[in-house]
Amino acid sequence: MHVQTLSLKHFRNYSETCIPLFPGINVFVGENGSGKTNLLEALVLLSLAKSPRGGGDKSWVAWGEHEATVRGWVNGKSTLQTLTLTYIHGSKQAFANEMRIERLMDFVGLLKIVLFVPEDLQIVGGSPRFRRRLLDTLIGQLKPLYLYHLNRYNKLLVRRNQLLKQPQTSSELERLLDGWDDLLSESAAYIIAARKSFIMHLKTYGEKAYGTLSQNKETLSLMYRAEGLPELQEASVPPDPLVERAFLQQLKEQLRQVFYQRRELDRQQGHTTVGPHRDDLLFFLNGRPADVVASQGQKRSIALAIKLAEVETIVQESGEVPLVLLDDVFSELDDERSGMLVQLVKKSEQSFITTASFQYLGKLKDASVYTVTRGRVRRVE
Amino acid sequence: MHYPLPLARLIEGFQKLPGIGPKTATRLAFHTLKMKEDDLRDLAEALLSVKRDLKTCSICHHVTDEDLCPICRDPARDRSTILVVEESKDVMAMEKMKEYRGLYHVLGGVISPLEGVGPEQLTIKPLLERLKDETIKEVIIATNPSIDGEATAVYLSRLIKPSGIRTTRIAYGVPVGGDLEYADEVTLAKAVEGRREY
Repeated sequence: MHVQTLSLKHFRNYSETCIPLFPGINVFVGENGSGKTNLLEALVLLSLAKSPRGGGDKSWVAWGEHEATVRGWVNGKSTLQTLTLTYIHGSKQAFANEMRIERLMDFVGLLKIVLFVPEDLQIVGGSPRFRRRLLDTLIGQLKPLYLYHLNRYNKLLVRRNQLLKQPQTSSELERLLDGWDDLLSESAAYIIAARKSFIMHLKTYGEKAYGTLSQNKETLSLMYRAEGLPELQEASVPPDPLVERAFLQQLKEQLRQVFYQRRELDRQQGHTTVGPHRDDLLFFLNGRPADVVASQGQKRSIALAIKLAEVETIVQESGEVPLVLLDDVFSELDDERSGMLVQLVKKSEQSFITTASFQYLGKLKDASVYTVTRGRVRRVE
Repeated sequence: MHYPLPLARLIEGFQKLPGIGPKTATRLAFHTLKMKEDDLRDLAEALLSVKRDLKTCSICHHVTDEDLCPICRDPARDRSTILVVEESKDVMAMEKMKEYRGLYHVLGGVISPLEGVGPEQLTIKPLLERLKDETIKEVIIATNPSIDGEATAVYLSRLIKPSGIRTTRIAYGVPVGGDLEYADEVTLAKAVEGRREY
């Protein structure tokens, strides 16, 4: 898919602007603070309805304004859609073809993206939160029900933790927790099954990409680590676990027991110590844990391979080629790996690259180049 | 802006109603200034009377102005089924469909750890008392499909099931007369999950 036009109103340092974009490679060149990353952020908002920078939704409204709008004209395989995300009266509203979409989760993924920021290079060895976010962002774009369960799970978790903090236990409280654990394990089972199944896709494509990067000297593999369910690590998942009611039911039952067994410990800790919010994605090089054995260079190669695998997974699962957004990553990579990155960019129908210097443009032939200065975007002919 | 005290009090009062912000409250307050005194007295009387004259039915806790609500008093109702709802307004909604002939039970809210609402603040004990009556064969739980509504439903079902009474939950799904294309994915998924055989 590709975005034909991006229009911004009161968005960060853009007062009102309309940028025509082209299929292929688009490069935004500008100094730090010029607003080039804001353009990528706008595209991410059209896809995920959430800023990758955090900091709350109000933060993307221009200083002194009360509402902001991001709008994109998006060409899909067989559709042309106008996607709009507005921040108004303190909340977000989403529209597709000018029709209001009541639930943001139904908006997420209409535009599909793969985002690559410098922090992604720490995917191996960095915080597990990073790796969970990678999975959630990928799956969320493809499965609306995943977002529903993720959202529900998080809300239930807050309530369970609240119940755990009650000073006195009673059979009444235990019965209440039984009820909450029941719903919690239902959503947890869906989340874990979905993550496991998508890790299988990432593994297939990631292995191949990493093989090419390392000239087949090393093999990469991936594994899901479910806290409190070690047996699940090795367990195979049916090809489409999300439609296998029996599989989900069994997983739910296992999780319900784990939540029950941990109840005492969780009460002492004051929060829930088990569940998908504590799980992790593990990487292995030649069968050994990558966070321990991999060099800095190898870790970067793994990050690259995973990004390639994300693109491939979205193509296979949805039939749409996602946009590839690269925020200032070229400067972080050596020649060989940036060559690989160029391959990734060429695979996509449309990509966006921000960079502070023209130095990397040599590798990107036929790119549309834009200069960005203080909230103004100009195409370089 | 400084309002005279009586007006300020009225604006503040209106703002306590749901869906009314400062702007609407001010508009309503200025409108009452123009109303006839008789109409205002009727309105004030009506406002006071809902609190003074209404109570909850001693069986089902639905709002009523008598000891028993008309539904509990009606001899034609089927006494073997109880439909459990959060609020009295849900009873009104159910009654509109004119298809349900059983009895109701109004919980008075849902269990909510965040709001500090526990089972003892709801009419769960009186419900369990009612279930001791052997004529009751089924309890249908119709709390809202919100997080707390769902959790309350699970809690109730676990509480009631051991007594051997049939416990069911209303189905979620596609609105009747609606077009599948326009139903959102989550609702559709829930509808497929709750499918039944012909």
